Amino acid sequence: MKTHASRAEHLRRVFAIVAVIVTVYYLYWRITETFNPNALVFSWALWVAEVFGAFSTFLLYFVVWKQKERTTPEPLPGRTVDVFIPTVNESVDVLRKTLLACNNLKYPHRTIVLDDGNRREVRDLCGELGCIHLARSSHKHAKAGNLNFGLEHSEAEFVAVFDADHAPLPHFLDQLLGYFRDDEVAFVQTPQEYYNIDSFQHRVDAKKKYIWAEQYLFYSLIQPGRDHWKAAYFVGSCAIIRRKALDDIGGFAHESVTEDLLTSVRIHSKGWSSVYHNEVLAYGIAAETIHPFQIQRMRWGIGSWQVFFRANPLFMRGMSFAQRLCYLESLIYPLEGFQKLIFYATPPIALITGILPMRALDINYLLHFIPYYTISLFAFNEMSRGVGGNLLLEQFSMGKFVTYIGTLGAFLFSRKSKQFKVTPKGQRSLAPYRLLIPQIVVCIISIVAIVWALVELILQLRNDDFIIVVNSLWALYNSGLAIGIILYARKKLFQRRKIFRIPDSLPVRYSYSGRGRDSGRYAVIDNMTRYGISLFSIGRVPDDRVVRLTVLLPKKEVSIDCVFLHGKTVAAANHLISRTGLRFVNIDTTARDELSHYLHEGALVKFLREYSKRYRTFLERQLEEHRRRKRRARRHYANLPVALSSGNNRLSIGVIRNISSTGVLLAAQENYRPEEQVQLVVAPETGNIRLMGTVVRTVRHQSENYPEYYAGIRLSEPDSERVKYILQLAHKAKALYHE
Amino acid sequence: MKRNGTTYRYLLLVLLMYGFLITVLNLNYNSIYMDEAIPILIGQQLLAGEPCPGCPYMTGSVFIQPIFMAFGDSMGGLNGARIMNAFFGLALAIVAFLTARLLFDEKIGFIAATIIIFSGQTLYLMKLATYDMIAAFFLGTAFLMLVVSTRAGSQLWRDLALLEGAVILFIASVTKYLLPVYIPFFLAYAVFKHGVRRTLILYIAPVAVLLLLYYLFAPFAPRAEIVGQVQSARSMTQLPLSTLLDWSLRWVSLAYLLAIFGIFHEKWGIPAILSIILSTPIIIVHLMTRSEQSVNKNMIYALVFLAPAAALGVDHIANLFSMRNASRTARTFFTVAVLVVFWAYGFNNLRWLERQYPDSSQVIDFFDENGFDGMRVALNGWDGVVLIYTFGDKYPHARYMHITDIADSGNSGPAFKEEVDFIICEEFYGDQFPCEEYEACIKNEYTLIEDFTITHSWGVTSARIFGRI
Repeated sequence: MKTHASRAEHLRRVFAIVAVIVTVYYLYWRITETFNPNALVFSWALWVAEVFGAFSTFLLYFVVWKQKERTTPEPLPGRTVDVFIPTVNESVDVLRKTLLACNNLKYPHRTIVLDDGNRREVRDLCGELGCIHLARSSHKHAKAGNLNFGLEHSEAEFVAVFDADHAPLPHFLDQLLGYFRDDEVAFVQTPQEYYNIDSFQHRVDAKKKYIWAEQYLFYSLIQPGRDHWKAAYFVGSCAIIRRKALDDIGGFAHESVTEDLLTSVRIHSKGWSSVYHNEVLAYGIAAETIHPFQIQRMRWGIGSWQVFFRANPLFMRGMSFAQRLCYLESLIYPLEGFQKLIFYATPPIALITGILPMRALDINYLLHFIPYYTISLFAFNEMSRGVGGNLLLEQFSMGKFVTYIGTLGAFLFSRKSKQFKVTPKGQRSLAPYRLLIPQIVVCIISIVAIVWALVELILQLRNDDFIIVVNSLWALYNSGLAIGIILYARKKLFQRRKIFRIPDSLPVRYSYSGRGRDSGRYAVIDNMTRYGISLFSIGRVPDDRVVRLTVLLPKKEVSIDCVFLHGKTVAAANHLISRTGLRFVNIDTTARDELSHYLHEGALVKFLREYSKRYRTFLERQLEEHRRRKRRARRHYANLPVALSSGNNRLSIGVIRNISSTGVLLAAQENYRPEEQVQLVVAPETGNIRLMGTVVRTVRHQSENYPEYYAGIRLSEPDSERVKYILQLAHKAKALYHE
Repeated sequence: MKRNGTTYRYLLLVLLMYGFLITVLNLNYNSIYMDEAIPILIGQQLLAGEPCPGCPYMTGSVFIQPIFMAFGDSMGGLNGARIMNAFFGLALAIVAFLTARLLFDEKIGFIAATIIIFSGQTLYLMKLATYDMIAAFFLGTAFLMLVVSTRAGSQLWRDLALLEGAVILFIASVTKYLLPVYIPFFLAYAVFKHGVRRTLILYIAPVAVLLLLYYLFAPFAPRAEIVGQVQSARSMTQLPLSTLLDWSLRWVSLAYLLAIFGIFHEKWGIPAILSIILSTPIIIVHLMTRSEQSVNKNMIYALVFLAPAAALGVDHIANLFSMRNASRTARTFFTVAVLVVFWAYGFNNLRWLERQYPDSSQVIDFFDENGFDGMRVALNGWDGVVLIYTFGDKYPHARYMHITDIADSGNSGPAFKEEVDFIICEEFYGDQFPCEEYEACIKNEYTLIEDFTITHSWGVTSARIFGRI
């Protein structure tokens, strides 16, 4: 029996075929019926841009035609693995986190830091954490050379590669090594996931718990599609490579600044296969601002040209036709810069000069264009299976178009720019405004052109009103794309927070000396970094003395001294609810590393799992069974500490995550069984708000070292005064959550 | 921070003031048009308590609008009559605001009102003393009542709104001869929302009874005359389908474009589809009859329904173009920008529409100087109503007759059986009875006194005045 998902898959492919047919017809009609004989160059330019767009889309449809879904294979014990961390100038702080995570990998391995910066502090760090530090005397061939240098010092059967900012989860090697049972598998690649969702390339809808990143299309759609065609490629990090395969191609390819792409091309051309394991097993730092983002894209663009002209997979022996097409899709994308330039320039030219790249922009044109565009958009949305985000992709295209155009220039004319440039991460470099000049220019020209044409229309100097209107809307759309990217880049530049704060909801205990007694109170973490914490508490946290904070990590506790940074308090019923920012002081390395471990393995995974990376497409929504949802009482988000006790006299501290008039969702470190009776004491130090309830179900948060349980509890006295009181607290505290 | 309703109401007030000012500041854009003169004259007759047999011909009931027009005329002449229509135009904008506010929200309501006021057609019809604007107002109000009937708090109010909507729909239908095409759509909407029984009792029955009474008791002109008028008007204006589509969409294409965006609005896509469907009957009528007659004015009826959907489209475009940015400034900028484009488009249309009918000022000035009481004037086009209206007081005994009335088509070709003082040969109104047919007689008995060139937005026509030798 066909499932809804498979029916949606079939249907979306049908739509893709329809879209291809309609697009081909539209382009044929455009070239045969619409060219403006008085502006042939203009007509051709726009048509070629449209053809490029269509061709890229067709290639994309081909690549993502089918998504390979893999299940984790059995572990492969007893193999030798070296973990390579190439680094040049990344901060020691960033590197420390990665090395701690690498040391935590369960599978036996060696962690080797390939330090092309040859820095003493990195050497010391390696010494402290027990990692191997290797540094070359020359820096030839950049990252590829560095990795090859690592290979010279490695005898391991497998090499795992992580960028300096990519910290793996403990089971990374265990999960992936099983794929190498197949002797033909050269490498296993996993997605590169970034946890700093406030980065330039992320867009977050906190309300809908939806997250979009520019690279999701690649990692969640294109790579699984390529995997189906046996063409998943190595992306330079978060992967394991078979040493034998590397030896077969003479090590990591160094002839391109995108050594990963060229290495993949060579590996595939030698007949090796690859695997894309679509599960996030490592977290890194995304380019925070537009500056590193553009550096990264420039490098990738140049790398694509280098591969295109020097080792073009289209003409390389040993690859299947599908693999060639997959690589072609990955190589031609920098041409998008020229395509977008034409799209951005067309409306201003038409508005200012009155010259059109088509014979007439009339109802007939729109009757062709609108169906073509609508069907194409629909098919793209379906084929991108809910990770497309067409509008956001367009916005990023606006952000990159000059960079992409520049890649061709740099490839052809500049020797310097062909050198490998590291993407600065973990450093909030102030992006120069000059990077936004192209977008500012597009915006200004578009708006000036609109004003120009409208004034001419009002003064009755022109009578092509419909042409002006349509081009004005197009120009407005372009300026919207430009304004969007400018505003976002600006926002990122002036972002107050230097480090991304990881949201969490663990209970903490805090105490401070004063007024003749040492208070022990409970609070809940709002977010945390290795340097500070934000808390929700009932009552005020003092702002004039050192606070002793004990983070109640699952299975262990970490105590840290903190000082007050900022705070806000709201009155709720008979209580005060505060949100307080604290900075850690005199924190020792062990405590910080422990927090680092927890943040990486526990909090981060937990928080990112709450977000969805994809939306349901139209077809998916239509085809799924419409189950009648059980009416539930409205839940209110709450972050309240509770003392829990059960019939077995098990006592622990937990957190109420949300509450309704009939039940609560509890985050606890103890596993309470269904049907177990529990007593909850909200704000334990006050001890006067008690609730009784029965556990309905429990879900374990899958983290080996930091287990946490979510328990749904049905309250014994729903709608009681005490429940209403807590609801009132939760309601009042909203003012603090939404800051 | 969300703007509250009061802000939008103030903005609406500013918008209405703009609409009023832009109308009254240019009321003399053109001389009186035939379709303005007729209802004013009828209204004057009705206000004077004189019987008006055969008045409701062609246009259905001409009792409501002529009385308003004549009242306005008595207050301030042609400008007074035109200002009366301006008030109906402003009322239509308020109706659009209320409808969209009920269907969507206050902001969309304001944008819908803006679309109405910024549209070239609205601004034009606000200063054209014909029945179109009043009919649009009634149609819009009938729709508003239908929407109210689905949203009102209590069943009693819902029923009352439905009943009221039925009465207003009837009034709209008898105000403009084309509006009965909306009745089936309104009925379908009512059935869909209220069920067959309730609609039958509170909507279908009242409309049917009122129409029946009207048919039985309204003082119609003889049926043959009506049919003849309709057929001759239609035969003059037959156009190919594609031309007609182009011609119809010229006035509302932008509103349609925006309304299509409205369909994709995250919150309210379905009502936008409904609005688009309700906007189509008038276009379908024109396409089916292939008649271009009054299409420039009739598209206002499509706009009445399109405005809420187009407003939704503007909001969606603003969201889209601001990249769903949380920045209110960006969203407001794009909302304003799209409305500015719409305004410029509307303003350009307004300029065009203002010159679509002939400016007869030169002819009027000629008779003002050279006319005399008791003069006899033959015309090939406009039935003399323009001159009757203009010189009714000055030359009360003047007679205006159609050229066909004085012509005698004998075997030896046309000849005049009656002498007149002046003959007006005019190309716009008179293109059905061109003077060329009577060229020989005119040349024999009359001499060309003036040859006026009248410039329209679409070309040039002439008005020649002949006097007796």
